Amino acid sequence: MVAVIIVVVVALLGLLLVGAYNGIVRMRNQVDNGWSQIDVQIKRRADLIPNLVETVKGYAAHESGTFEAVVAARNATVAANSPAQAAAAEGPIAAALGKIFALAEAYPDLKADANFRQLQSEITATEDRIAYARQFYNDSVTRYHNKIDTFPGVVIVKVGNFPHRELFEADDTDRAVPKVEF
Amino acid sequence: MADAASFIDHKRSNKRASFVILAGVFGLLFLVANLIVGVFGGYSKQECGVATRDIYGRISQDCQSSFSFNGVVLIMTVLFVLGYLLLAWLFSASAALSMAKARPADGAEFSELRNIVEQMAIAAGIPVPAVFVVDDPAPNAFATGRNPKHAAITVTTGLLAAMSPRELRGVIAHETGHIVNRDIAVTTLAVLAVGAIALLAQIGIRIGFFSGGRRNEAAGAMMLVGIVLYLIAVPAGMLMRAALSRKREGMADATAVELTREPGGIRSALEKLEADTTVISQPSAATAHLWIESPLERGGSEGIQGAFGRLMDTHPPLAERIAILRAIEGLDPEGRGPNDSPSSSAFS
Repeated sequence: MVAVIIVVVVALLGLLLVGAYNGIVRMRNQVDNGWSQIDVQIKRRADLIPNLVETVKGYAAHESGTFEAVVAARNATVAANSPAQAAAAEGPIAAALGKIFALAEAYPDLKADANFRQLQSEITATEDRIAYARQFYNDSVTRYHNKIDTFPGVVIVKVGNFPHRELFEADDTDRAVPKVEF
Repeated sequence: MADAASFIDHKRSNKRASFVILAGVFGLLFLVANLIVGVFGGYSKQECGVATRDIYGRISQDCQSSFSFNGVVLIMTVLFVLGYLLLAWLFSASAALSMAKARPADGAEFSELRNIVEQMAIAAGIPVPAVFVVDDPAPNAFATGRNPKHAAITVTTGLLAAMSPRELRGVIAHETGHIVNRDIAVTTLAVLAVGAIALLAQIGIRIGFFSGGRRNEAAGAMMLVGIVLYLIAVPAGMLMRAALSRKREGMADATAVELTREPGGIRSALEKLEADTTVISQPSAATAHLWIESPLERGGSEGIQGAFGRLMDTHPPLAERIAILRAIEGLDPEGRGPNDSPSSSAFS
């Protein structure tokens, strides 16, 4: 009788542990999925930027400093391969894009260009998506960390590969409204 | 109310509710299907004695009909009921969409709407739902589907005309909340359950009506079953749906705040819905609980009718939901505004 009870209790405990382990794996996968969502949107923005530069060049060829800054900032976002690097690259690209969009105020023909307006709205929409993807990623990382830092998660993670993940933290330049000066 | 634990609890209780509804509907359908089979002789067996000839030359045979359990008939009814449920489950979302006369939001004029739906799906970490519109001046919206992979968000053109982009984002975030909180599966099942019960009740009453003279007792029993189903099950189903619905709306508002990171959008949108008096042009009791605001006109709020009306109401009063959101924003719960001007409409 006692043996039966012991077997049942051990079996139940085993089931609980398996369930908790699977839950942590699901959370880790959600973090990875969240990161790839950010990546997709950053790449999409990077693909739009060369077109934008070409279009603006047609109206404001001598603003080469602005073009170089935006291309350099774009390349930095693509080169980033960790959340910290990607977050660091967000500030410069936001500032550089702000400057290039501000050129429209100085060049009325550019402002009227349908292609430019289309690109501007697509890039703005992509930036919004990056912001929401980042929010989801950070929420997922926080939930995952809460799980693996508290009991029983803190014990369960000993038997697998469950590293802490970096948050995608916006630096100050990113959070402030970008100021555009001429 | 909106902490992580209560969301997990809510998802769990949604899954439980789904299971209970599904099991209940299965049991009921199975019972009634067997009853129908029983009435038409599927479970009766005739045993006859040796035929004899009486003195006038007539043949007479002693026959006794008795109840006998027939395994084949039983399995067939199970398969029939399971088949019905599977089909209803797979097609109930498209049925709800066609009931509301929704069409896909494909045109360029809906690009802002599609954009916002995509943003909120990204924020919630779910696949982007299909987007539909209903041509109706009353501002309203709903979400359907059986899981986040097969989900759709529908809005009326009236909603697009009345809301600013920020308010529209609040409404879409609320609907996205119904998808991530797994409300849509319960909703779909509830439509299915009430539909099935109503159908069975009608079948029962009809069978009773048309086979009146012949199998008197059995037919009478069927009719009684049908009437009892109507009298008990249909209002019970409506009450159940309403109870599920009321808690859900508050949870979806909380998810909307979590996704948009600001209570102002959904709060301002709800205030506009509260002030709005247009009623959706084709209200249906079967789909009432789907919408963000109840599409049915409410009766008086006094006396027994008022109390019963409140009990059956699929949505908690908008004022309650608005008060909670205003408290988060630090505004006077009883006050109203500020609201975005309609000139900044999201519908261009």
